[in-house]
Amino acid sequence: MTQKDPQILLVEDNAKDVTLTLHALREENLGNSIQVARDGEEALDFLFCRGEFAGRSFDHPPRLVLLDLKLPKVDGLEVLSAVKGDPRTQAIPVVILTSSREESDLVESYKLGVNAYIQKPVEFDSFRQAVKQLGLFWLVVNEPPPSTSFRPKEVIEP
Amino acid sequence: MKSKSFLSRKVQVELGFAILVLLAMAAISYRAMVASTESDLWVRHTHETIEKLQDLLLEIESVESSYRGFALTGKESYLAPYRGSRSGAERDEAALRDLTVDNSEQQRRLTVLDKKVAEKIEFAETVIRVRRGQGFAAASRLLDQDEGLRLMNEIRAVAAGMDTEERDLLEVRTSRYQASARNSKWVIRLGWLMSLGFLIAATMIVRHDFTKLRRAGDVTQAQAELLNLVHDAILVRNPADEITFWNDGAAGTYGWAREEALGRDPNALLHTHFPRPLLEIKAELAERGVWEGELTHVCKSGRQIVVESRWVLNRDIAGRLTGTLEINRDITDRKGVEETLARLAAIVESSNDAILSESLDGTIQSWNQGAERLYGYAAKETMGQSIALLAPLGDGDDTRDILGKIVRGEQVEHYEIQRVRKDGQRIDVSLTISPIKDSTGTLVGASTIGRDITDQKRAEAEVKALNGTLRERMADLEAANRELEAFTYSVSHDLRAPLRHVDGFSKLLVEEHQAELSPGALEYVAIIRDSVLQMGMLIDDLLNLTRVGRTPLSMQVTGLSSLVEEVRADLARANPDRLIEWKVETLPFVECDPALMKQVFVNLLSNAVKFTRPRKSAVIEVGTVIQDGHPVVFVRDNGVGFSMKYVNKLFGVFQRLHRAEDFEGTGVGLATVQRIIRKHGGRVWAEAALDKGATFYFTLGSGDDPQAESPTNSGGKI
Repeated sequence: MTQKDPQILLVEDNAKDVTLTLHALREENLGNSIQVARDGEEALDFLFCRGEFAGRSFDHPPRLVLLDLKLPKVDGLEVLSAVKGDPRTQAIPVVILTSSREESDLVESYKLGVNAYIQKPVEFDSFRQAVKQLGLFWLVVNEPPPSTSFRPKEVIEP
Repeated sequence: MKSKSFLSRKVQVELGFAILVLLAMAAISYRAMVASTESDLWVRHTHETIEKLQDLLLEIESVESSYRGFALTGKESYLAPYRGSRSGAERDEAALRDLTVDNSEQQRRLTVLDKKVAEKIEFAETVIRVRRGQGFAAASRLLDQDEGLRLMNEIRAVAAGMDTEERDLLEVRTSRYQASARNSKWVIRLGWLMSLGFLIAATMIVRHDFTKLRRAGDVTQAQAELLNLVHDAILVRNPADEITFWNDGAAGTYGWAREEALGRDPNALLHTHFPRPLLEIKAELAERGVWEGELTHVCKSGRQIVVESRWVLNRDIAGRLTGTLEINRDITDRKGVEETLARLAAIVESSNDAILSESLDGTIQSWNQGAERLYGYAAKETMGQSIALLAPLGDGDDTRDILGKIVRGEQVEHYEIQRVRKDGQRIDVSLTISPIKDSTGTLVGASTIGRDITDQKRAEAEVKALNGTLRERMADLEAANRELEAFTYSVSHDLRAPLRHVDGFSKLLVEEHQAELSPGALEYVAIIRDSVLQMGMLIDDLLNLTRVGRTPLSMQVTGLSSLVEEVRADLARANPDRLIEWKVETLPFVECDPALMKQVFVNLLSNAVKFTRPRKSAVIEVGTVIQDGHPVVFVRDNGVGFSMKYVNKLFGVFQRLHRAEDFEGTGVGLATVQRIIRKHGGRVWAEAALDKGATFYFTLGSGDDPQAESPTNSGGKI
């Protein structure tokens, strides 16, 4: 089970962007443990272990969520808000990867507790560079929080 | 006072009587004295006449003996006494004639005497002549004839008669003198007695009056004590205007104690302000004995009071002026109330508002000038009329309604109602209606203050209409803004995504299928990617431009030098192969939006770097100059510059003065600069010459910006 738990959740509705992102991640051998969610609802189902992903456990969260803002059904900021507003998921690093450079989006994201915010560069080389660095940083360089921190508080405290 | 004038008259009568009696006495005694003196004169006169008569006889006897002596002896020496006695006799005769001029009998006798004397002297002359001419014998004969002796005896006889007459007269006159002297004595004695009587009478009268005076003094003392109980200020001043009496009321009213006030001039002490000149008041007081009027006094405390003053002249028993009694009643409060009432009445009358009062049945009872102006009716036209006069037809119920509220004791404020003027024009008025109660608190009517709000209502309607329009416009604007936001969002998000895909897949095409592509295909792919980047930049620049317009300024005091240094460092890093000499002066701290201001320097300095690219040694200067008394920031380069012919296109969106092959760019950068500078209230302009470099100048905020002078503004304005 542990081997199959994906390490990156990519929330992206645009198939072309998924292709380009996965291409960049694979070049760094990070492409094997990626779960792709195509809208906000699917992302929340995965993160909160419900619906299609009811069999998942909160004990094995992804080590990085790459989140687009403009998403069908539930948009990126709502997903961010739900993740950072729940003690079971709030320790999961979330990086916004979006075309938007709107100040309001930036401000709102940081208020909700985003861990990083990256505007997708138009130039593919720059884009690929950014994605690779993100993957390396969060999955290799960064020390993830202990898995106990994802347990609900009432469970931790006697 | 009556008692005083009575006393005075009585004393006058008494005095007059005494003087008359004494005058009569004096006249009588004078007459007695004159009579006595006359009698005395006559006695002396008689004595004198007798003496003269004797003198005359002696002279004649001397004449007799003298001529006889000469006749006997013939000696001339006898003739000398003869001649002396003869002229002496003549003198005595003349004197006797004068002395007896009042007595005809004596005059007759004197004439006889004169004749005899003349005969005697003639005889004597004859004897003397004979003796001289014929000698002793002849003379002796003459003498022996006894002619001389006869004449002598006759003279003696006449003289004796005269003497007897005079002695009889003397007796009569002496007795008359004695009688008159006796009379005088009696008259004088009587006069003395009467004077004594008057003296006694006067003493008695004076003693009587003194007793009266003393009694009056006791009464005055009692009155003074009574006067002290009076609240009014009562004072007495003597004719020298010195206070001689000062009651407790005066002390209470003015604050000056009795010992402080006594002896002072009240008008000086109290700074009296008279309604008329003091001289006129004193004249009226002297004429009528009393004066009444209002005076203004200043108390010891400095408080000014108004008194109702009554002055009465004070006279003593003899009717002499002893002073003035002054009674002052403090009516300051009453005056205050009167003045307040007068002022209130004036306010009501002069008010621009229509102020009227009506009885409970709606009858108009007062009507000021403001009402006259507002409604067009004169007061005399409305007094006694019903208030319904002003109500438009069919609106009478409104007035009833208001009166109903008033009857319940409620005040009605800013009640807006339509009224009809006398000329039929309808006006909007705002009424404030208050109940009027009489002194017992019973409701008797209502006062109504009306104000013309026709213009106000019209203005309100206009404002309402304008507000409506404004709200519509605002809604339009908000909608437009929302559209613009949605547009920019989709531009930044949706347009960039396809570009990224074009570039991304072009790149992957080249990377993964390079071997299958011809060099021409690879070149096309390169062009595609270049165009994509160009479009990406254009979109970014456009977004920057619109963001300036959409986001509000976030002003902070910012050091321009540090902004320039950040930008300069970025540009130096981005252009490591360029040789650029930077001449950056110390720039001021200013109040600005730092992010936008950085954008300004990014655009201006990157332009400078770009357009100096052909120069082997580029020089870029940043500094300030003073123009028209205000600091101006400039960015100067020694690049290719431009022709001033096109300077008006310089800041236009998508306007480019250079070909894209020579200098890349979107034509948005300077438009963004201008938009930012204008948003800061400043101005940007450029000077350049073709191939001789360009200088861009800008200011932030106009020189007359009030904030520039503000001491709280630590950063200067440019």
